[in-house]
Amino acid sequence: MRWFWQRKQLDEDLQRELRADLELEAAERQESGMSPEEARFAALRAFGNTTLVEEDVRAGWGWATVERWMQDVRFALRTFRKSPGFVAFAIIPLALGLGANAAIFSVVDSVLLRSLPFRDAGRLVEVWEDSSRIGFPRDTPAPANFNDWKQRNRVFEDMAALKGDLYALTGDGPPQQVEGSPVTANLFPLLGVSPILGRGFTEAEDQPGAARVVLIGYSLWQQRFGADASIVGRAIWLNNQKYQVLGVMPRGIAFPEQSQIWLPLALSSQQMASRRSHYLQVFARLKPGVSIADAQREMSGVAAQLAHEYPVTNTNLGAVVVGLRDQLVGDIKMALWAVAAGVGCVLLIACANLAGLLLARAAGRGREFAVRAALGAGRARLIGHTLVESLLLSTIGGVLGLGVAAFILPFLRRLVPNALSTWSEPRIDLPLFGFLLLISVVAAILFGALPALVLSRADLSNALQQGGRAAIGGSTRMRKMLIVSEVALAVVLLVGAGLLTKTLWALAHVPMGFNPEGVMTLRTSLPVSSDSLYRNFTARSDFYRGVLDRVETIPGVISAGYTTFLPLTNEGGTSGFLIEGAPPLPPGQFNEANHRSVSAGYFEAIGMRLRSGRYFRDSDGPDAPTVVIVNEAMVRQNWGGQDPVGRRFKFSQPEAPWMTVIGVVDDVRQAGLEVNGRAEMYFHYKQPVGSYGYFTPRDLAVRVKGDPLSYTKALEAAVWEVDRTQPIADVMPMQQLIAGKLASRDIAVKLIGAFAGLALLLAALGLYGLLAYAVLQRRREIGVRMALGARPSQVSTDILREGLHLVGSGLVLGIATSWFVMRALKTLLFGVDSTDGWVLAGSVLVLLAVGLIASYLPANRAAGIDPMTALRYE
Amino acid sequence: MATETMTPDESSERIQLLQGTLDMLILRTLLFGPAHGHQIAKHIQRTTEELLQVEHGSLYPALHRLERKKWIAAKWEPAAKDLKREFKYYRLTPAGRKQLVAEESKWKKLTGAVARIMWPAEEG
Repeated sequence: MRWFWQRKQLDEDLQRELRADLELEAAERQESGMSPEEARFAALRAFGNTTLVEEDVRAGWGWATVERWMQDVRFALRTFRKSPGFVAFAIIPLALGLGANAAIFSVVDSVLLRSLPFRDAGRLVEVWEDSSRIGFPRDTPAPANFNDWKQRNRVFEDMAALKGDLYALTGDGPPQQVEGSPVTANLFPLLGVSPILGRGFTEAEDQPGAARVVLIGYSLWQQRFGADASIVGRAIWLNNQKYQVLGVMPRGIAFPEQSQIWLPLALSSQQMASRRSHYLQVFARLKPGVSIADAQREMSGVAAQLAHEYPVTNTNLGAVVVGLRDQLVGDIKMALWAVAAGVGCVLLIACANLAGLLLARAAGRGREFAVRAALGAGRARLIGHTLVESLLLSTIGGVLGLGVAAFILPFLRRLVPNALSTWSEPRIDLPLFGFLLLISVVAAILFGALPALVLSRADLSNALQQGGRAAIGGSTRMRKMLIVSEVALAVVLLVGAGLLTKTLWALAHVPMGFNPEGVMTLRTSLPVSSDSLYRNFTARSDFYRGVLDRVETIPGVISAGYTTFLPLTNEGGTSGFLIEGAPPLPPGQFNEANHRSVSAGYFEAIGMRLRSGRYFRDSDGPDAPTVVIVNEAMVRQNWGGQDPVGRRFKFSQPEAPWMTVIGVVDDVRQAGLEVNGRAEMYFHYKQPVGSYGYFTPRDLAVRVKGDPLSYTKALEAAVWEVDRTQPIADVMPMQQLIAGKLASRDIAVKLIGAFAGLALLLAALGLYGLLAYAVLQRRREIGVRMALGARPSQVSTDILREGLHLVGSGLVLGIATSWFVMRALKTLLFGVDSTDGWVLAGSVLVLLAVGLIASYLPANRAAGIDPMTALRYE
Repeated sequence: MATETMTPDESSERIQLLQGTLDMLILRTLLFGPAHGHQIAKHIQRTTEELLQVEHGSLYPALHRLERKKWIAAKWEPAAKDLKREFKYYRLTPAGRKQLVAEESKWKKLTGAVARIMWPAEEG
């Protein structure tokens, strides 16, 4: 505030000084014989422009820049108030573009930029078995392989392992299914995470037979145990066993995926020696200076050694090193970049449109600027003024854009992979503000620079003489270029939206091999460890039978069935087998098929069709001959497509019994909607040969009449009637599960689609504006032509041709660009070629139609010009 | 119509001041004693027989610039002739005096150098 008063005083002082000197000058001139009047004018003339003098003096004071900006801001605001239509027209697309970009940035930030909650996370990697030999390029390693990797590698500081599992948490409230992971004691030290309460595991606790101890996650601690610090040292019930709580992990740590419970892995030496059961997840920390490529070379070498030493199990078995972030982010990256590129395009179009708008306005303001230049405004001042206007526009756009971002963000949460969502939510935060500010300024420069340059180059005296008409040369050509690039960008967006929509449609209509409509699902995961209630096969069978019996009596239930994994919930879970009569396989080759244990009603409940033979019956019990149902992929692979009913095969272990194929069912999509079904074998849950351990049924599918969700209560009641302590999880209609698989593509399609529409609209408005302006400008010329006998249709055809010429140029440019862009997008596409003729033709047609409409209106107006009025108008 | 711009005032023999010389001339003028803006301008014009015309647009910014650099100081005082009227009188500060000496020697060097190029013969 002080500078303000100081400033005011200086100002008054200066004015007083000038006045005094001016009066003296006048007095002197009067003495030399002029009349008082004459003398005053002469003095004024001698002094020149006093305001300018004052300004020049003030410039020396150093505040001039700030003041000039303030003045420009005030002036710009005044102009804006006078033309609210222009402002709204300019700002709304800008706000949409800025807001959408900020929102997408927030997602990119949370998925790709924000640091992971681990120490020096850039050096963390996940190591997989490359089991492409059976269709799993990233497979969970077997314990013995993990052990050898750890002993032999020279690239990692340490390697740790865990195993994903589900736990029934009872006591302290209703039974709850919790994701949990047995881990090696060194996992958390390797990640660089320590408990906020209590302590982590010791090596001694990571031994078979050690005391039962557990670490719990922050959110579980908050939600189930009321954030009670005395939890440390207490016992909790997991899978009907008491575990002592050692500590609580920090907030946001849910690793892997949504785990909230960690126990020591404590593998027995027998388990540790296994190369046949692949179930670990292996993490490692690179030594400083070692790259992922280095580590990959090293691990490939180790895997080759192992293949040489253990040919039966390890032939063709590789190792894959993946950066932890890449692993967590998964395939969402591509969709994210596609959406980001899409919204970037929209912002560019909005800028181009606005630049065109400002150019048109500049042409109309030629006289105003000429007058201001004549009154002494320098070129820099004029450029500064238009830039201030642009900055102001983009600032208002940015503020509104913040609202747009806040509106869009909730929809974008689905773009964040589950594995990241616990610690990284997109939100309105400082980086978002920073980014918004940055793109607002960049946008202002993008759309403001061209008009500013054109204006400042205006030929002033010409502008004054011609009354401001046609004063600004070159701006029309620039506007045309802007329209062409807008159309081109709109084409790219349209093609992208078209391809993605077709992909989504193809995925939603892919033959899944089952019918998700009207199916309700839930998960009851029975603990099968050696010390739990359900370790015993009959206890499990009784549970399933009990639940199914009760569910089937619920009114409205058509059929119900248990399975190991519902389609799309687990891509693995395979077993090896031998076909009766087939020659023995050479080392490194395996027959593997998905292994599922189901109840008799499952196929009908999920809607899989029987191709041959029969379904299971309740009479296929533990004492009856072991029977199996296979899918068509398995038939193609192993029986050359011939009906295998009555044929036999067995698991790879030498002592396994023969099993007889009794039926063939459809292939279902297990790994993902875009992945063809693998070979599968289904066993009856009542026959222990195929229904053990990991393969024990856990998912219930119930086909119902009416809304599946309305059965939730009744289904839960049925389960709890059988076992009051059994947790129930993932209660949802099958349709919802599928929608979840489509979510990221769905949101990408909706966003890119919406923005393609917006782009189209903006390009059309830009074209319309340009042509309408051209008609207005050429009124006189058109009037003359018509007076000389040109027909209205000739005049309008000219305008139409000009519009379509611009659209055509944009189309050519756009199609060429989209050819490159869409090739990069290829991995996002499914069931549609990146040069799909229909999509390309459709986009071209839509743009031509829109271009035609945008050109027709001004053309029509040109045709309607009355030569007499037009000529008099000048 | 094409316009050739030439304002009547500029048609005379008047010489544009070299960049930076105005400051030195103001300081030199004030060596005779305090003066207000008008007097300074008049003094320069009169002394050079109207050859150097000091534009008000340059004078006042220069005065305020010098004041900010503390080479001159200003004070409102009544005029000697007419006690009713007050003018802003500028006077040289010790720092200004030093500056004047520095500028003067710089100017001498410059003119000497220019002269040596323009009239080499005279140097012998």
